[in-house]
Amino acid sequence: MKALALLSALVFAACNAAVGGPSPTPVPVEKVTFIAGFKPQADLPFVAVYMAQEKGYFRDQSLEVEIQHATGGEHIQLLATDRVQFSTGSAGDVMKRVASAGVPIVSIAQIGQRDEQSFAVRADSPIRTLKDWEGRLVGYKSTVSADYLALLQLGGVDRSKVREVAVGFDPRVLVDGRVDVYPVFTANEPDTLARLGVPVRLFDPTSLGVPGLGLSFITNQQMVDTKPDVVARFLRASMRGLADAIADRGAAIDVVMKYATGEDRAHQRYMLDTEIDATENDLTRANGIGAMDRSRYVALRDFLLQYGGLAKSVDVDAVFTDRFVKELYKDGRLVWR
Amino acid sequence: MTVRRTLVDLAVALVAIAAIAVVLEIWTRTFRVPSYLLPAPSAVAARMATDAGLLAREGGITLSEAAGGFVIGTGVAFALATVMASSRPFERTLFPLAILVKLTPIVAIAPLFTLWFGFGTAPKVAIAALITFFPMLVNSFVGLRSADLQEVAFLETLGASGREIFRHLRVPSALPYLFSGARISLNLALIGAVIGEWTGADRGLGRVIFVANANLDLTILFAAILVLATIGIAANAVVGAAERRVLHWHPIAVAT
Amino acid sequence: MPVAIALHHVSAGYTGPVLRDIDLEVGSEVVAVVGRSGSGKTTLLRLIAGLVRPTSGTVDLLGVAPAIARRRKRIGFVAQDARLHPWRTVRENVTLPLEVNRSARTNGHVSPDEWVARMGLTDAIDAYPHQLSGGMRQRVALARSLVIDPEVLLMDEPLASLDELTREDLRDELLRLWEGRSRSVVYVTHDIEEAVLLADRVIVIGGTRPARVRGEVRISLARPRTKAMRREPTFHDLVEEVRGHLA
Repeated sequence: MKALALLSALVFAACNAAVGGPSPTPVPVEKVTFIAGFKPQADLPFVAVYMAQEKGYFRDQSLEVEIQHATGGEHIQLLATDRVQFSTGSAGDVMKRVASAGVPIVSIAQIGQRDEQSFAVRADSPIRTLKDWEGRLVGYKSTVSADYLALLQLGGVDRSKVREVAVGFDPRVLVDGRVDVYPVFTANEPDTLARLGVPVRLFDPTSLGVPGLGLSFITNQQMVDTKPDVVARFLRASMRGLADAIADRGAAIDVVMKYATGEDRAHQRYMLDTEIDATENDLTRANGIGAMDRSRYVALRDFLLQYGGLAKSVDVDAVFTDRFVKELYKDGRLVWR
Repeated sequence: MTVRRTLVDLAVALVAIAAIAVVLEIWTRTFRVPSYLLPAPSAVAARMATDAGLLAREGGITLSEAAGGFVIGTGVAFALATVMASSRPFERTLFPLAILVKLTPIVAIAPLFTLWFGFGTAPKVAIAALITFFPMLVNSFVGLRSADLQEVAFLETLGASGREIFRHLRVPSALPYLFSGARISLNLALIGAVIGEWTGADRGLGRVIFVANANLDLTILFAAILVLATIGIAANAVVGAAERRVLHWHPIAVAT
Repeated sequence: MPVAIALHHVSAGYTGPVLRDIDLEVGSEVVAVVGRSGSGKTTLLRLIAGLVRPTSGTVDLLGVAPAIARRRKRIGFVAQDARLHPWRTVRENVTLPLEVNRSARTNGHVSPDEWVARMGLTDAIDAYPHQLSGGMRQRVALARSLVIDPEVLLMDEPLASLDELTREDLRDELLRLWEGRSRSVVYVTHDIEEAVLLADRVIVIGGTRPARVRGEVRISLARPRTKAMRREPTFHDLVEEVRGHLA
């Protein structure tokens, strides 16, 4: 009897010791909500969060993350009112929000290092250069974009000779010839169109020298000011998830499909591959994925102002901060703590 | 008498709206609600003034799309109802098809219409027509059928032809139903035109709302919605006035 | 007397037989048809007008098939609760029969306005049905059935939904109308005294379904009929005779 009690006490102590382990001073678990800017799909910031959740990285960082997805554009308002704490948004959109309505949101890691949009023409189309756009039907989604206007200027295109048509979000209009040039998200519609049997060629603004940046992680000013360590922890876990995804793309897609039920797997893989291409450049190879270059934000802001993408100017330092992403990396490698 | 009544109703409505606006104004100011969450009514009003021309033009476009769709939808519905009212087999085959049309969510169909009809006004008119179709079909059918059977017998006794009975009895019997259907359908047609504009348009209030939403410009968004509501109310009033004239003999019209 | 309406061995029904083996001939006279409710009186009228086909037997109207008589606009019809067109004034309602089936030439020498006057409704000639009393509406119904000057007049309990005083007035009206012009009238009613007062003959139909002709009573009262006749013993006897057939 006594031996049994002693044995169980020893076992109990041993268990406790194992669980305790080399643990740091316990940090209270913070509950936060991340809302992806669109429906579940293989956009790189989403993938980062999915992976971090799957692998328990958030838990390791004493975070309990609830993952949501936006259906309309409500994520910006939810973030601004701190109903959610983290989201995604393109650098240009963040600038527009801050400029037009003073929405207190800020980019904390630049995942997409190039413009996420480009213009597609059918592969068999005679349109080869920008100048060939004259006399053609060029589509625009909701409004004529700054990219479009910049491309026209770059190519010396006479805008009055181009027929601008408002299009919806259905790429089939390019298939049946209702438009000759169709604005696309580089990681998305080109693959969709190829699957419809209509391969396309792209006019890519970034390649042609137009300033552009893609998706970033965003948070609200309140979090930056009052809970910077939570922001750092969230970013750290997400970036580790992202690194895992880049290392094992198949596993990443497996995780994506858990959220993106009903989506086409091959299409999701295309999206992932394209976005990974767009996340790496010399800057990120030196400083880590998500690195932010202030001069590029200035260039983007000035570009948008020039072409009417921004109604009025905005202080670049109000739309992004690199203090979090800088601390994550040493010599380009993620520091895990 | 009726004119005075209408003015009183209008005054009451305006007072109610003003009261709500005052409450919202105080709320947004007191709690410093940012404009991208809820714009102050004064800001919306100011925006309506500065963009009055734009809102009027775009409103006119949406209205014309809705009106065109309403006319087409009603025309087709009435024609079909005539066929259905005269023949049971037709009624049995056409009614399920009509229900199928009704149950198809407009938001899902709208992009297809843009694909089939192009980017001009055609798909918006088509959507407005589609959304108008079912209520007007039901109302036309019930209205045509509501013709008193005894009266039909009376006219048959006089040797009246089917066409004469249709013209003298069924159509007038259907008019009250058609008017009440029109009240519903006109507003639905407006919504249909707006939804049509969301899937690809460069004109119209729907487009204004769409772009405003994308830009988080809630001030113009609410301004556009108010203009849309005003158009809907005005349209209703016009139908009501026409109804009172045409249906002056109707006991309900007389009582109000 | 030439026969205007002739039914020979007529049976009729919808889902089941309603009338069986009806023989009836009507000349230039007023024939009342009495029977309990649901005894097929209305079906009888519809048979005569040709709105219902007999399952057996023949129906002749003015020597031709009822459909042809209809096309020639020879038939007048008054129902119990005439559904005048609410969107037409009194004048327009009375004019309606002249607007349909124009190709049929009618004998109408009397204009709609004059018929309205004969019914004592000139003051209401521009009124709409909803503004009229029940009695007034039935007068309009009478006027509009007579405006085409029909040789055959079919009346389906035309006074049943009115109050007693109005019924009295309208009975006088009918008697007066029938004085002028010779017509063949088939008058359906459940009111035995009314039948005796108005008709030259009273036909009783009834019995368990399908209904048959139970009997016929010739009304020997002199014309013109008056309200006072109701107090005479002969009147009472005739009513009892009719009632006997109903038992």
